[in-house]
Amino acid sequence: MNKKTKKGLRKFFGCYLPILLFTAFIIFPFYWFLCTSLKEEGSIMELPIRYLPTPFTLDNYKNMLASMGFDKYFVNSLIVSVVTTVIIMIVSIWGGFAISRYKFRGKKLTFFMLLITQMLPGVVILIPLFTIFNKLGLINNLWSLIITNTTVNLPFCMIMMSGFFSGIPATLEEAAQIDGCSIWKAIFKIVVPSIMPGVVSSSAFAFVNSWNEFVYALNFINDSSKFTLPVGLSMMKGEFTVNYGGLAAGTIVALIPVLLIFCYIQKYLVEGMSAGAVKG
Amino acid sequence: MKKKIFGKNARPYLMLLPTFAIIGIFMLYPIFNTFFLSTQNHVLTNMKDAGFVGLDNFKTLLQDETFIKAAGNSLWWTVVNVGLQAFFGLLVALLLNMKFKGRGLFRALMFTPWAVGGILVALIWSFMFNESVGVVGDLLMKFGILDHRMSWFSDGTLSMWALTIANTWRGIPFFAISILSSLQTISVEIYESADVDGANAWTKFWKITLPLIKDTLLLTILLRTIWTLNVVDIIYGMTKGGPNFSTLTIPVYIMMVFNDTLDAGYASAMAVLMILALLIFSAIYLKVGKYGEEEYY
Repeated sequence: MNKKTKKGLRKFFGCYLPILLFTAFIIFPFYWFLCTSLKEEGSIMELPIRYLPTPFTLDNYKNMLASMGFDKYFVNSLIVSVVTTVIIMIVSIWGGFAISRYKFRGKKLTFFMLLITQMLPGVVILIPLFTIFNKLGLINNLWSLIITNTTVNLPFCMIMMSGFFSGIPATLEEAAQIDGCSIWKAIFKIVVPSIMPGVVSSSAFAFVNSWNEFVYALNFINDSSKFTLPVGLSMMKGEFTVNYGGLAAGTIVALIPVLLIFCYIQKYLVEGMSAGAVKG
Repeated sequence: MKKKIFGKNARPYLMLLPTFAIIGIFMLYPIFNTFFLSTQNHVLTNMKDAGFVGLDNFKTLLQDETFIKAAGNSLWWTVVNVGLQAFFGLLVALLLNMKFKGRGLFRALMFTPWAVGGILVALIWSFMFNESVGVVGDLLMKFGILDHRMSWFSDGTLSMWALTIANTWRGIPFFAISILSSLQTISVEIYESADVDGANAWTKFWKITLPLIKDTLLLTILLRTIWTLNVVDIIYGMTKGGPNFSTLTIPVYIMMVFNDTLDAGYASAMAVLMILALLIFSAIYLKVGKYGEEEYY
């Protein structure tokens, strides 16, 4: 064996083969649900298992959109995620700016508090929040989810935003202020546009986390017309009979928005972020 | 007067006011409230008997066999899951840090489970583990690992492993992303000078790579430990803690107790024990791991 083929073999077994195996493990579940969603109801529960969607059909998607309140769940999820993201961005732009630009008493404590809340198990605040929302009459109201998702994701987004603000010089807003802009106007008109990639990636985190949130949505909402997608889909999985075709179609549709967002932000995930930057 | 209140010194506080309000009311107050509720008899459907009961909730907890079982399950779940995720996450990060064709595409593909919500993970994997038509059983039989189909969700140990596989699938990207970004901060020159000294790949990994990513690894493991313990959606969506409570963890139990009995006092006592256990663990962990003075982001 000459040196070149030896090197090629090493590259194959030490690099390409393991990567292909891992990728297969990661991708297969997506493929399997997509494949299931395109099969006829009968052939899903039939043996032997078919690894290709034959006969091919779009019936599952049509049925799902026509019934089961799926469209409502989708709209509810969209409302919760969009409103949450907008609130988080406004609040965390102000807060992140304050933390990165000013020296003030209690700054360290504020930052420490934001970090500590990252480490808090979410189920710990479930019960007190339920009692609060119960008193406020917000149970079965999407606002309870918007408030909770905002609270849970705000610290992380703000730490991220303050990092992005620190990356650009203060001369930017100082110049704008000399030209007669107020500081509030300067932030949104001058500073924010120059850190747009940062704004996009922290809103993406807020959106994806709100879109996927399940535990609070399950506990604060029990009126089926107010269900979000995760709760609505989980209710479709009954105790004994499951319409797997419909469930798979619903799951694929629920995945589309987050996967699109993910494609857009994945380049920011690795560059410029390290431990603790990815919240789960 | 007006100038004094809204002067320059007040500006950062004014900017942080919405944050303080939101975090204060909906995060800090609830935490204190949890500690308070844990000492109360506080059943939402029976508020006549509400009141201070001292440590009674905790005493009942320690005699609650389901709770003891859930505590043991939580320990197993957290240790095995974080261990698997850390091992495979590190492996994937090292692979993706190599130079090869199509690296960008493979990185993007490998990180996709991050975007999938826990309940969707549960739905996808419970179908794949389905006893009669599940694809996992079919593949295992095709590769000759099994000779008959298994009923994954009627056996406690098998259910736990099914959950663990699903959760590891979702958790590998977190580790891979943060380790990879740490790997990229290591300069190529260090490896080049090691090459000059004749170091092999194994030595380079143990003597250069691992020490330089140690702090990232330690912090990621700590954060993942907390988040893994906290997983509710995957477990609830796949097994609801069954069969016979063998996959029940403490957070799932907290939620189920609260849903079934509306006993806020008892459920809060469990939450308090969980916070205390996590605090003690984190303190010991960071001390033993000799965590450095690294920035958190």
